[in-house]
Amino acid sequence: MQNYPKREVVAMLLAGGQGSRLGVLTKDIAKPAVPFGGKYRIIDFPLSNCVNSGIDEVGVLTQYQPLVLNEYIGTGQPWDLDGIFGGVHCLSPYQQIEGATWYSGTANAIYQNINYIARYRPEYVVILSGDHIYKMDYSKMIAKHKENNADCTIASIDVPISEASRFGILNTNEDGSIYEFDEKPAKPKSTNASMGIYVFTWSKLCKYLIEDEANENSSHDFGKDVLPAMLKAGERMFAYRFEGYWKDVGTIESLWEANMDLLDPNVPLDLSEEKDKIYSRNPVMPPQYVAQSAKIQNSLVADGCNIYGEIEFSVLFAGVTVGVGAVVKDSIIMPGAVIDDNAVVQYAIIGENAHISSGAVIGKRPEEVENKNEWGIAVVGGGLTIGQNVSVAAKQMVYNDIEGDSEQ
Amino acid sequence: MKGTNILGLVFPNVNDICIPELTSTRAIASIPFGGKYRLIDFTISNMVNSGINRVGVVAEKKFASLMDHLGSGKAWDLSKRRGGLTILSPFGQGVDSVNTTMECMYNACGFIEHAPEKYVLLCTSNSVFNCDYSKMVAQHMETGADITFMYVNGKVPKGFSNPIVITTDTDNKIKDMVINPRVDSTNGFECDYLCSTAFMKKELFLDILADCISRNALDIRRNMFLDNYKRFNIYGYEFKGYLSSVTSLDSYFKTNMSLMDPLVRADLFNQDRPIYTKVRDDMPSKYGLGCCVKNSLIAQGCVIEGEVENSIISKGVHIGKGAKIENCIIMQDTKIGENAKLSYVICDKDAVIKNDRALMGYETYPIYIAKANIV
Repeated sequence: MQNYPKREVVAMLLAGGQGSRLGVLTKDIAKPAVPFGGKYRIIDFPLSNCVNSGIDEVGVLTQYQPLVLNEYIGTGQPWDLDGIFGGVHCLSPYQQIEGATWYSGTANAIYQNINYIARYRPEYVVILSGDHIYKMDYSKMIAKHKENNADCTIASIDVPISEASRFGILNTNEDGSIYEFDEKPAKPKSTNASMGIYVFTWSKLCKYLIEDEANENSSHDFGKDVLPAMLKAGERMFAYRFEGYWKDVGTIESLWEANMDLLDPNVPLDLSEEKDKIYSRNPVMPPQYVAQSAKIQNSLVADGCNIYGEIEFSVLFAGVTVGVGAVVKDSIIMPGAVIDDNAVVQYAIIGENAHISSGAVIGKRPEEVENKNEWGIAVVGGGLTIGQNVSVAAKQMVYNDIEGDSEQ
Repeated sequence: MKGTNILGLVFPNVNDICIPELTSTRAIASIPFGGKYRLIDFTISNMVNSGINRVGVVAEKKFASLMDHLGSGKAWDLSKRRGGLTILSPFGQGVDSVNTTMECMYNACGFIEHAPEKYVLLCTSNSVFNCDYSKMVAQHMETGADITFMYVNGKVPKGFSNPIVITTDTDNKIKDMVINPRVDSTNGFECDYLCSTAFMKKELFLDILADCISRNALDIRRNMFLDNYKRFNIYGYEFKGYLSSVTSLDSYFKTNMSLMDPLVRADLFNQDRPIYTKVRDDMPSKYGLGCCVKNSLIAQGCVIEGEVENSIISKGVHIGKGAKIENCIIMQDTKIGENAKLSYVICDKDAVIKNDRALMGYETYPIYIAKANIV
């Protein structure tokens, strides 16, 4: 076997999930590839965090609709992950001598790639997921892991008690060691929620993965199977408290909110800082053009946009066109979308390269809807065409083209 | 198609003297342009988009900023095993003094000879245009020319140093060639003038170069071209798209402002032939509450809280509350304080305009603020 240089830490990024709650946005792409924040994709955050933490070997586990994700990661060059001996590797399920299986759970996905990890002979393995927006220095967490002489360290964040029952709660002793996991408890004992970021001592993880695989009753999931098994066996498990901005973007509402957070100066998530930058693949486009007729307020706009209309409290990705008299408010417009003259987009997410024809109205303002339960963010899928003067209701998710008035 | 048989040679310092302000610390090739580009991006992108795989940049002086910009050539897909980008420094071949572009070229002979390509394309780098050189090459092959020059039809821009004006046959063969003809009218006249792009066989180029050097004839325009046009079969290729040469502070300003025209942008930033540039991971630009932006080109990484009209705002620029920027070119990472008022100002990179300052230039005489200066 070729000798790869030893790495102290290897990161494994779970990016195979469908993200079914994002509906049409993940129809053709995996959740980590969903565009975010005007020029990024969600996976830019964990990848950049790795590089900024000094981790230069990252395995990305892909399964659901990997085309866009694979292409986006490419050689890893935007994140400086295109080294001679390694960098970033996309790891898809593959055929083995016993036959072929899909990744049946998060733990199984890592189990199937034990060979990949083993060739770097790491001391520690960091397990990450591709569905959170946050900036974190993993090296501090690893330092804490070493200091505690831990077998497993789980990053945790303080959540409001009212929301605690949505999370996996970590109940800890005074020294930070974990004595109990409470998966989505009805009556949470603490507000210490797991962020789904784990540091394992590799030798221990490897042992438990093999044991878990042999257990026929296991669902091969970290949270449900591997971590409880480790706790039961009395391994040293610690919580690592993270303070800072962290947001799950697993739903349309939370994805919309996280984008809007970038427009709020009070939210502690600055992507422009020179240190701990978030890197991404940059579009090859000229600067944005803002026309005489345009009006832009409190918005983020990326390269290649042509703005002739009115933009307020919105995030526009690269290459978006907004026509004369068009109004875009409180919305996210993904790359290459075209909003024709006099169209209105409000409280909506418009997918990549979608086309909103003139006079169409997408979404509704909350004050326009009587029954608040019927209100929500409207979503138009990527590449779709919404015809002239069509109305798309609040909360509606559009999967197919909608024909409008034929031209007179 | 990739992999033509052509070696691209770019001359980043030719015409430096046209814009002393902007070239005091850099080559004309690395003058920032259009909010996120450097002038050389157009020439190199054109070469790459025409399938040229190997590019040599014949540097003469002040090329630190150019080296920083070009790096390994990765941004132009020119970081390659076969081919790629090479910066040819003037200190190459043990020649003690190199004072002219011709001597720098001669200094780079080793690289040129060693390259496996059969043809060379020579280009300066102060023109803004998007061109498919393969059409010029096709004409060269059809006509059986020894040398083909690119030309444009129009008035020679003000400040253009030593323009070569040509007369051609109907089949584009060059009949006559004159340098810097005296013009009576102050407005100039429409003519066919060369835009510093030449195509020929590498062997021929090396022959002419060696001949010039041995006779100590060191002026490219006069000795290399004018002295030779009757000896060889020389053709012109007319470029009919948008082309603007940056030859003075005034034409620099106008060329930047021409980007406000959607037709010019459509021609220059053709999706099939993108203009590449060095990547910086800026976040999208942020427009604050109460800002007002009209008819302007804004790059990424900006924070705009004031008013901007008819201006080019480059990457990473901050414009404070109440500031008013009209008809300006603000280069990267410049900070403009609150309530500052700027009109017809060209502000080089990393400058700081403090709160409440007011600077007014005029359309034909924009004020220039040097790099990293504080007003």
